[in-house]
Amino acid sequence: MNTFHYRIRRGAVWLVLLLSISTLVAPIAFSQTNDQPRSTPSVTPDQLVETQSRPPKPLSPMSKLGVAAAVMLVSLIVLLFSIRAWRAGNLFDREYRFPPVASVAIRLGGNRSGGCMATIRFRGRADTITAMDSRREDS
Amino acid sequence: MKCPACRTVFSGPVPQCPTCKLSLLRLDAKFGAVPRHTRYLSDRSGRLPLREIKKLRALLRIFEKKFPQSLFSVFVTNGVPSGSISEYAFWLANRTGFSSIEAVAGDNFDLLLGIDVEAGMAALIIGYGLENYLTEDDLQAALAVAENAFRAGDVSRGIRECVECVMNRMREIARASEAHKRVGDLVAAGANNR
Ligand SMILES: [Zn+2]
Repeated sequence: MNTFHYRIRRGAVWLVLLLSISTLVAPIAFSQTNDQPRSTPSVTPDQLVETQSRPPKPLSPMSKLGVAAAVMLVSLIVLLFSIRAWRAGNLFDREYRFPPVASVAIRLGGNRSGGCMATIRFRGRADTITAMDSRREDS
Repeated sequence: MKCPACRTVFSGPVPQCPTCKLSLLRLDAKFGAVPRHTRYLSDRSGRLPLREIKKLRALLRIFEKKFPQSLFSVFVTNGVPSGSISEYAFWLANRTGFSSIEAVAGDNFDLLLGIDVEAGMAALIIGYGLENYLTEDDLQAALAVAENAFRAGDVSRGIRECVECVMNRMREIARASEAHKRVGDLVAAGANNR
């Protein structure tokens, strides 16, 4: 799991949400084309002629159905891709637990950590201890 | 185990380093008040872009989700006054409230990555609870993975690589430990049936 997958997942979730909303809203929006007037009553005869010369073209029920089906199909594809990303990102992977250590020897006065650590010097002096050197030193 | 200050190797419950006399109380006197810090990641150097901080916090949140006992904290600083990052990391791991108050001794499964950008040094330290599972070699390997990014000045990439490396290693260890336990249970059940 890394941040790349996390980003993909978040993007996919937003896209799915957006498409779901559009799936719901689109048919309503299309259905309004028949009921509502395209323009307000005009004052001048010229404008009246212009309005009358371009009658509204309502979408046929089949076209509406087609658009809805297309939106559903795209949503489904996006959903499938996001599921793949989730799986790849291992986001819903199970939790891991370690049995607690019964007794520990408190070192250097630290009650949370006794100083079990590793260090690296990634810049600076020429005689630096890098991670690899440190491992060689220890072995 | 090595002393965070002089790297003297010691074992057992030593109250202070046999060589340099380092102890948590001495570090309290040295570093004074606990610095301001936030959950998951604290950037006191001001070098990490906000966008990167957000991404890293998201990654560290995922880490905690996978290992609910563990909190992986990162502390980036622009130099440790009169000390080294290893001393500072040891002090921070014990003194800051990164994890819960109850997470002490064998119940502390936390990790802290301290980075001194100015000195070019990093230290990765674990709580007592993880000592039975993660070795110093594992920690060194995680830092080695991040070394190139740190050297190139890409601190956020280095942190990410280090966290991901530890995450993978801990997952491996947890799975192996569970498999081992299952085998043990089966053997015990077999012995009881006989
Ligand atoms: Zn020492």
